[in-house]
Amino acid sequence: VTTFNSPQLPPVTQRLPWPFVASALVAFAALYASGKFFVLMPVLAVLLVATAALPWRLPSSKILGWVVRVAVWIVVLSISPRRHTTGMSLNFGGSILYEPDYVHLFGYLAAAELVLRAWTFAPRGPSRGDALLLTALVLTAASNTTDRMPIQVLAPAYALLTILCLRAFDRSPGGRATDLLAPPHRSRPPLLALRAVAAVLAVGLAFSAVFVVTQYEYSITNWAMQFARSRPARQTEVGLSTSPQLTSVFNPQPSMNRVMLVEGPYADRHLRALAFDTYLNGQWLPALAHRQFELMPPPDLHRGTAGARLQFTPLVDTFELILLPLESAEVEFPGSIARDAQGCLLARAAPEDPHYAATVLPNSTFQGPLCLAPDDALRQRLLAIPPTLAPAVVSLARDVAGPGDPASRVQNLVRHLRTQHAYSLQYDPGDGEPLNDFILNARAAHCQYFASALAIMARAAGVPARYVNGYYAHELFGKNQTVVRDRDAHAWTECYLDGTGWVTVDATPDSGRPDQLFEQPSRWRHLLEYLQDLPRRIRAWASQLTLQSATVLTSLPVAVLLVVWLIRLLRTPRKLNAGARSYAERSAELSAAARRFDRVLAQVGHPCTPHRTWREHLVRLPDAVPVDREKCRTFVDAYEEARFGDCDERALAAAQDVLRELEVAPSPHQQAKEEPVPAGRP
Amino acid sequence: MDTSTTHMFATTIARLESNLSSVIRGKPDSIRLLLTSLLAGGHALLEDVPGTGKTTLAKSLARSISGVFRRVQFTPDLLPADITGSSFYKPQDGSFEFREGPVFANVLLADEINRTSPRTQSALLEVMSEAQVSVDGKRRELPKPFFVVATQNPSEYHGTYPLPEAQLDRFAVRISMGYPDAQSEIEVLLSHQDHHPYEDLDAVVDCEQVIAMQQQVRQVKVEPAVADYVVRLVQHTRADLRLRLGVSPRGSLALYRTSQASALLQGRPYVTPDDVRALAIPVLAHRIVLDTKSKYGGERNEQVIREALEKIAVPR
Repeated sequence: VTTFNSPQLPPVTQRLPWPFVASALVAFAALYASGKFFVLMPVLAVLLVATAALPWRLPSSKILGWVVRVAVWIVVLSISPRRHTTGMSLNFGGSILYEPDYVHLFGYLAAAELVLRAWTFAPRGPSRGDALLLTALVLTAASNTTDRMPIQVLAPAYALLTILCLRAFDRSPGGRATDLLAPPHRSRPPLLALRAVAAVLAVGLAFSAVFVVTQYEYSITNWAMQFARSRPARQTEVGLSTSPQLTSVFNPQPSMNRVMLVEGPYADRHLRALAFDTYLNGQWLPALAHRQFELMPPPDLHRGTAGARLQFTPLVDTFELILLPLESAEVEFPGSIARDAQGCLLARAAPEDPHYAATVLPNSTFQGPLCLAPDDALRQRLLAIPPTLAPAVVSLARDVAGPGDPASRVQNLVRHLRTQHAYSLQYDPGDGEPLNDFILNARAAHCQYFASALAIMARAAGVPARYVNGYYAHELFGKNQTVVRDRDAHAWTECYLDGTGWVTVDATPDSGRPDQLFEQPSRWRHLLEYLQDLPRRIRAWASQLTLQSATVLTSLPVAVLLVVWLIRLLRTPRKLNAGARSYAERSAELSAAARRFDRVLAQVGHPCTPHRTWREHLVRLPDAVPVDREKCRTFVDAYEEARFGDCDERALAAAQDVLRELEVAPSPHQQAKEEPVPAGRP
Repeated sequence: MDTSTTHMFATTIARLESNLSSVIRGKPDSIRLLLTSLLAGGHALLEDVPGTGKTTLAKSLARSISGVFRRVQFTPDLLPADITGSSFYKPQDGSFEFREGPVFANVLLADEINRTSPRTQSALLEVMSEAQVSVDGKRRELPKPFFVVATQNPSEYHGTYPLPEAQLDRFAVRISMGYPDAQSEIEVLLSHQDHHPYEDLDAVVDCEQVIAMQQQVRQVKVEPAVADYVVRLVQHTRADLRLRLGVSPRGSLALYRTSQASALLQGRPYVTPDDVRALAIPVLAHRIVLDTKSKYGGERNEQVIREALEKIAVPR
């Protein structure tokens, strides 16, 4: 009497495919080499290899699995080497993203988990995704090292073995990967050739990827840091000059790079960087390097007056200068500030990522910490007329200024410059004193000429004046943010009016101011800048979090996951019970016989899973397994008759007889030596 | 149950089997499944593409049993009365006479059952589960044994009405014939040389023997552990989140009964877990309904049952 074909189930074999074991070993070796030769890695490697030789497995019980897992964690945590104890660091500014020791620790845990799964008795074996993910995690952990040599050698080998390993996975009719223990499909020659080409290509790709990464590592890191760091490396192309010179062009490469973000009520503002008192042969002095800066005592920074509070976020390095409007009242800075006689501020002992704030008054004549009344010597310099200046300029200035008070004299001069001169980015000063030609011939030029001309003409009219450079903040972004770009570099004049103090005077015609000169930036640029700012915003937001709110925020997703898991648990109560409860008890003799037969199967390296019948298991045993199939079948027949038929003493006795014969059969290991074909492999 | 009785039935079944396999070549599994459902007192649904021998198999079975065989070709305009029968007016004496429809047979071949309207399909519901017909408020018993073999073509959907779940549930097994292998197909060609081998078939069992075997199936022993295994399989499908509809108690009863029949077919007076496992897919797969996401996510009913078999521990 024939039987039905049983449902199509993959055959039982207990060995992991060799390419998978080999790729895992390569990953282990990489971690061993990069993790200062931690003794656990060779132990794990030996254990993984031993799965092929030893027949027994851990039972697939979940509780036991977790007990063993936790024990392994404790062992790994207690013996793994840890030299730095600074904790997990996520230092974007420096070179380290994560402490290598902690990353290696995760690698050890992943390796231990892989070995544990290989030793656990699962009917379908470890799944492809899990197994490959674990080896990949081990290799990734090994890659977090400064010693690249082992990774460079081992990574291509890992890639090749992983590809070979993919071949060893079975595919179900639905196209989904099933298990690791299924035998691979037999390949036909054309397919084999195609696979060989694919393998060679993949190894080549792996090699070239390693080459590219090592060759351009520095640029890649720098590029990535652009996004991660709020303040990129020092830029040489800022429009600011530390000792400006009157040349044919000003800020020759006006770029769209952002220099600073200003948060607070919007207004057009002159953010001053440096003020200069001495004019010599077309150049304004003193240069930044030759200035005397003195530390400011904190009370000097705080002239308690109500006004608009502005927050400044520098995005590039502006020579450590603190850019502020002249009418700033209170300055808050995380480090200390030094100031020179011209009221220019320099950051001292500033943190990596300085933000500062200032209260700015709408009253343009307010004398804050930036407005220092000149002493006599400085007043002399602020009134000095350069010897190269033509006498005609002086007399013109006095004529234009008229006899009124200083404020009206300056106003007349500004009106004259604005009406008599046009704006032009290109101007050829020719030989000799550039200001003579500009002023006397009413030339068109850029803001440097207007600022210099006003300063010199004001001096000729008896008003102390200086040349100032900095940025003209005007570009509104969002509701209350002003973006200052490199192209907004500007120059203007500050005049000291007796009785009033320092005031900002901009003689450049409206058409020459940066807000009128350039077009608005595109939406794409705004989007890109927004994305660039995201890490900085997130960090700023995270730095404000208290310990409690941070705890709540991190535990919230965990709580949500827990609730979802609970709901799923409640929705499937029967599913959890299915198969968990044991079947009705059979007689002691039957139980003993079943246990003994299971032991016989385990001894030949092919224990039967609890999810299949012995009959199916016997049909699917590989040919090389040294066990008498005929006797096994006789046993199963007799056992089943005793178990499921009428409890027959005769059948049970027959089963026990066959069992005894099976148990005294020659040791499987001796037979295995005679048959070198590995079980379960084609 | 007596072993000699069992062997006697096994010989009868072997005769029946060889009779059928002389016509249907290379399909011993399909033949056994059909016989299993006959002995279990259930009905069979043959599902495959045209030309694979579904109708021939059903006709051969009917011919092998010396019973009444009727065939209904299901079409969209077929009415319930066309299959159950209806009362006709007799002008001679002014009374109504009931004329039996094709369901009054021992083997009913419902060909292309999915081509008729749901209304006519539903008329089969009572027929299949109760083996009786109610016309004009009068209950009429069908002859025994009563065995419905329905066929349908799953690959064509134009102008078809897919069977409702309630109707599908009434079929004990669903059998996919599949194409024969090359050797069997050659045998098919050669055996058709001068005439259809079907014409050579003789009846090898009579209706009484079939009824006796059906009663004998109920005597096959099922150990409580095996019944527990059947219930675990079925309950697993009810808890499966991918399924909109798990297996009904009618389904577990069908698995129980067909397992008994399968044991008897193999001359064994008791059911083993292997019987249950071999029948799980033909008996259960057509009763479950995948939810939309899983259905279009590439899951198959057979795969779900196969996974249940892989997950649930077997009694030993």
